[in-house]
Amino acid sequence: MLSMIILTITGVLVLFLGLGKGKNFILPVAGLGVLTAMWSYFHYNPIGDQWMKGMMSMEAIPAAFVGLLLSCTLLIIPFLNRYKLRGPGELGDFAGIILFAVIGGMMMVSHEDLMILFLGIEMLSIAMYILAGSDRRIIQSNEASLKYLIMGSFASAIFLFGVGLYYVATGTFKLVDFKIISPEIFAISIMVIFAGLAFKVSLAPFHFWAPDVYQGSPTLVTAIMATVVKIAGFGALFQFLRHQVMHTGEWYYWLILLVAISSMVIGNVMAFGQRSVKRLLAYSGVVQAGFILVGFLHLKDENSWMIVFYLVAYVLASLVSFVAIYFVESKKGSDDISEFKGLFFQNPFLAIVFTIALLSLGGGPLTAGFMAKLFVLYHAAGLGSPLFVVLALILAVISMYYYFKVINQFFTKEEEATSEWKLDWTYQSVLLLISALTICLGLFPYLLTQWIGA
Amino acid sequence: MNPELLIHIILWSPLLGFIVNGLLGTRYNHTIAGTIACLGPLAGFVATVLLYFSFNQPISFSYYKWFGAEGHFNIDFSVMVDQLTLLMLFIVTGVGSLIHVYSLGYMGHDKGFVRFMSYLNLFIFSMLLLIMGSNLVMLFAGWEGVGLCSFLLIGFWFKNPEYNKAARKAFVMNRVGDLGFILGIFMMGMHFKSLDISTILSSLDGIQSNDPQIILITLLLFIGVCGKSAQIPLFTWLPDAMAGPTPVSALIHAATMVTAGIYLVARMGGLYNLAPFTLDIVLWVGLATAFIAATIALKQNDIKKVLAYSTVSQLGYMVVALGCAAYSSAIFHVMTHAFFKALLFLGAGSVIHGLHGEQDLSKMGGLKGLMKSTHVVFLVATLAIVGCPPLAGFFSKDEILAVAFSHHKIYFVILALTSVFTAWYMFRLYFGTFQGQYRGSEESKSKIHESPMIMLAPLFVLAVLSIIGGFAGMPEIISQHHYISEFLKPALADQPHHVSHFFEYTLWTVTVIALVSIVWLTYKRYATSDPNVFNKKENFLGTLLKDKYYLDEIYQTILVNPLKSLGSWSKNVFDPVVIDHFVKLPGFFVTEAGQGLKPLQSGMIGWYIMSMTIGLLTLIYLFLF
Repeated sequence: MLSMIILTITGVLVLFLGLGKGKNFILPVAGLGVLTAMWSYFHYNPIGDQWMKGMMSMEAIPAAFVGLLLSCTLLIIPFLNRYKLRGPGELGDFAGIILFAVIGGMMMVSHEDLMILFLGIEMLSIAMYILAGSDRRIIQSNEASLKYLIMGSFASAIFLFGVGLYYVATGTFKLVDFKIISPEIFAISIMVIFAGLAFKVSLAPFHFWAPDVYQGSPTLVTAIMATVVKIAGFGALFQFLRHQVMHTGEWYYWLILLVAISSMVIGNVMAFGQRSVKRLLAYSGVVQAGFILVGFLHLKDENSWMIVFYLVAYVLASLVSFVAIYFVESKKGSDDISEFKGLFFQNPFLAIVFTIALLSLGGGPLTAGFMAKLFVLYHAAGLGSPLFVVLALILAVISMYYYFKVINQFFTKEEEATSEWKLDWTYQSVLLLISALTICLGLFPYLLTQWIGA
Repeated sequence: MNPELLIHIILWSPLLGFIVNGLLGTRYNHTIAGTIACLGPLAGFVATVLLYFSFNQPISFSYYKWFGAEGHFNIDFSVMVDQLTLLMLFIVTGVGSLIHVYSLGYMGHDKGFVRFMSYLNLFIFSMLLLIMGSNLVMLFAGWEGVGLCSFLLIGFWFKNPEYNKAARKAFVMNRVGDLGFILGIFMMGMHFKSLDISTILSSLDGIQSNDPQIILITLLLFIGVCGKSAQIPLFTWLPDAMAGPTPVSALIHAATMVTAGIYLVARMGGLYNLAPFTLDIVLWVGLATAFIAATIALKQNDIKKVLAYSTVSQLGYMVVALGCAAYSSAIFHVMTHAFFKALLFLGAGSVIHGLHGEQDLSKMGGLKGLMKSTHVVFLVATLAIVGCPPLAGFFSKDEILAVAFSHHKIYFVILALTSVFTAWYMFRLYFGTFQGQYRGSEESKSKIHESPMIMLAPLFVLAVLSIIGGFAGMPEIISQHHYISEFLKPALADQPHHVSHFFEYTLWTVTVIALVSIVWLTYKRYATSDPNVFNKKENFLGTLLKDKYYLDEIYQTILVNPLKSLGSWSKNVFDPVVIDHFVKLPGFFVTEAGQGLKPLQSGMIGWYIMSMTIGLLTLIYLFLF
C-alpha cells in the first residue's frame, strides 16, 4: 500500500516538474520513486498482509509480478530521455502517466476483489489510451488511440458484464470465501471475465487491436504495451484464476488449450507476411501470450514460477526489440523491414542485441526464451497432452522463420556505403544489461526459478 | 602432504600448462613456452611419487555435481585413486614428462612448437581424466579427449593432405569403437542404475555367470577397446597414425593412449569375470591381432611402420592376458611396454632427426658409428621387446605366455610363434639400421649427426627403465614377491593361474636358444650394404604381408565405398527431391494462409468487435452446451 502511495506522489511530483523548469529532474525523480516503491513494497509488507479490508493482498505470488512490473518500469525509464527534447508530448505528462499506469498494474496483480481489479484495469487502460495517442501531430497515433479506446471500452464492458454475472452467481465480488449459488452462471462469468482479461494480453480471438495499436503508437509506448501491460494482464489473470480454478470443471482445461492454440496458430500465420516490424512483433506477442497461457493449464500456485519465468524472458526480449525498432525508426523514419538492411554494418551493437532478443523470442537455445518454452511445454507434456506439445513445437519452429527474416536483414550488406551511427552509452549499457540477463537466464535458469520459489 | 592436494596438482597442472601456452604461448619465446609445458607433467610426476609414499588406501572425492536427475541418477565430477590408477599415473606422468623433454629438442625448430606442446599438455590432462575418473562418464570424457588430441597431433602438419587423411581415419575408426563404448555405458546405466565404477563393481553379487545382459555390456565395451587399443578389426588406423611427429607416436600411439582400452577392461575386470563368453572372444581377438600384426611387421620398410605394427602386436599380447582374466599381467605388460616402446620410438625419432627426415630402412645401415648413444639405447630397447632375459620385456611377456599356457596349449603356441616373429622383425630393424654399411648417398652421409643432449637424456632414463623395469614382477621361481600383482591385488579381479616350474625353465631355455639363432640369422641377412635386400621382389606371401593383407583396400570396398554412394545418393536425389519438398510444403501453406487471412485484419473496428463477440460466444457455446 505504501509503495502505491509513493508512486502516486512521485507521479504528481513529476507532473509538476514537467510544468516548471525542472525537466532534467523528471526521469531521475521517476526512477527514484520506482526504486523507493520497490524497496518499500518488499520491506514494509509482511507476507499475508491485507489492505483495504481485504480487497488487496500481499502474498508471494503477486509479489513476484509486482517486482517484475516495477523492475520493468525501471528499465524503460532511461529510454524516455529521448523524449526530453522532442517527444510526442510533454515529458512530465508522459512519465507521470506511465507511473499511474504502473499503479493500475499493481492493483491488478494484487487484487482480492473484482472491484479493485476493475479499478486497476481502468487505471492502466486509460493511461495507455492517452499514451497511445500522445503523438498528436501524427494521424496514425490518433487512430491507434481511438481504436484502442473503443475496443478497450468494449472489453471493459465485457469484463464488467462478467463481474455482474459473478455477483449473480456468488453474491459477492470477493475472490475467496464465497458460496456458488448457480454453477452455470458462475461458469459463464469466469469465461466472460477471462475474455475481458484476454483482451488486455492480446490472446486470440481478442487480439485484433494489438497490431493496429502497436503500429500506430509511438514506439516507446508500444514497448510499454508489450511489457507493463502484459505483466499486469497475466498477473491479474493468474491472481483471478488461481482462486477460481478449483470451482471449475473439465472445461477449464479445454478453454485454456483452445485459446492457447488459436493464439499460437493465428499469431504465427498472420506474422508471416508482415513488412512492418512492429506489426510483426505484435503478432509474435500474440503467439507468446499463447505460450504463456500454457502455464495456466492445471493451474496451481506452485506453477507460478513458470509463468513468471516466461514473462521475464518475453519482457526482456521485447523491451530490447521495441527499443531497437525505436532507434532505427527515428534514424530512418519507418519501421519497414527494409530499413533494417545492413544494420550490423551501421550499428553492430544494436544489431547484436536485437539478434539476441529475436532469438530469445523464437526460443533459440542459450537464451532465456528457450528455457521458458522448455518449461511450459514440459509442463504441458506432463499433463498428458503430447499432441499439443508437438503442435506447439512445430509452431515454435515456424515462428523462427519470421524472426530470422528480420535477423537476415541485419547482416545483408547494402549496395551503397552507409554511415555508421552509435547509441549513447547510457542506452547501450541498459541494452547490454538486458541482453546479458537474457543469455544468463538461458544458461542458468535456476538462478531465477529458485529465487521465485523462495 | 595432503593426498587430495597432490591429486589436484596431478590432475590440473597439465591443463594449466595447456591453457597458459594455448592462450599466451606465442607472446614469449620457445624456451619459456617449453619450460611451462614440461612443468605440467613434471609437477604431476613429483606429486605422484609423493602420493605413492603416503598412499595406504584408495582415495576418492567429488569436485562438484556434474549433471543428473534429482534423486535418481547423479554424475559427479569426481576422481578416484586406487592402486591401479596410481600405477597408471606413474606411466602417464613419468613417460609423459620424458617425452615432453624430448620434444623440446625434436620439435624445437618447428614453427608450430607452442601449439604442439600445448596439445601434448591437453593430451596428458585427458589421459589423467581417463584414469582418475571415478565414473564411466568421466572416463568417457577422458577417452574422447585423448581421441581428440590424437586427431590434432596426427594431423599436426596439417598442410600435408595425406596426414590429414590419416588423422581423419584414426578419428573415424575410434568413433566406431566409441559408439560401442557409449552404448555399453547406457546399458550399464539402465542395468545398474549407476555409472559409478566402484558402485557397479560392488553390485555384481548374485548375477549369474554369462548373464545375457552382462555379455552384451562387456561386448559393447570391448568394441570401444578394439577402437582405442587398435585390435582387429579396428586396428588399421594405428600404422597410419605414424604421420604425426615422432614424440606423438611414442607418447600417444605406443605408451599411453592405446593402453586405455587395456585399462578399461582391467578396471571392469569384475564385470568381465561374469562373462566367460566375452573373455573367450577377447582372447581370440588378442591372439589374432598379435599374430597378424607381427606378420605384417616382417615386411615393412618404414621404421616407424615396423614399430607401429609391433605396437599393435604387443597390444594383442595384453588383450590375450585380459582374455585369460590375468588383468595384472596385462597391466604389467602395459608398464614395461610403455618403457621400451617409448624408447624404441624416441630412438627411431633420433635416427630420423639425425637423417633429416629419412624413414626408409633400405636407405639406412651402419649408423652405429655415427650415432653411438642412439645405437646403444635402441639395442637395449630391442633386447627388451624381444624378451631377452633379464630385461623388462622378458618378465612381462613370459608371464603372459605362462598364463596363456595354463589356459590352453594352442594359445601358447600362437603366442610363441608371434614372439619368434617379433624377434625377427625387431632384429631386422636393428641390423638394418645400425649394422652393415650405410646404403644412402655419400652426400647425405656427411650430414648425419647425433641428436642433442636434451633428446638423448630421456632416452637414457627410458633405457635404464627398460632394463630394470621387469624386476618389479619376477615370477615365483626367482622371487617370492611379485611386486606388481601384489600391489594391484586390491584393485583388480584376477583369476588365479598356476604354471609348473618345469614349464618356466623350459620356456626360458627355449627363449634363449631361439633368440640366439634368430639374431644369427638376421645378422647374416640384414647387416648388409645392399639396399636390394629390403626391396627385393617378393613371392605371393611376401606381397600379401607387405601390402598388409589388403585390409585397407577391403575396408574401402566393402564399407567406405557403399557409404559414399549412399551419401551421394542422399545429396543428389533424396535431399533435393524429398527433404526439400517436405520442408517447403509447410512454408507454402503458412504463407498462403497468411495471405488469405490478411483481410480479417481490415482495420475496421466494427468488424473487430464483432469477431471478438463471436469468439466469446463460441467459447461459451463450446464449453457449456
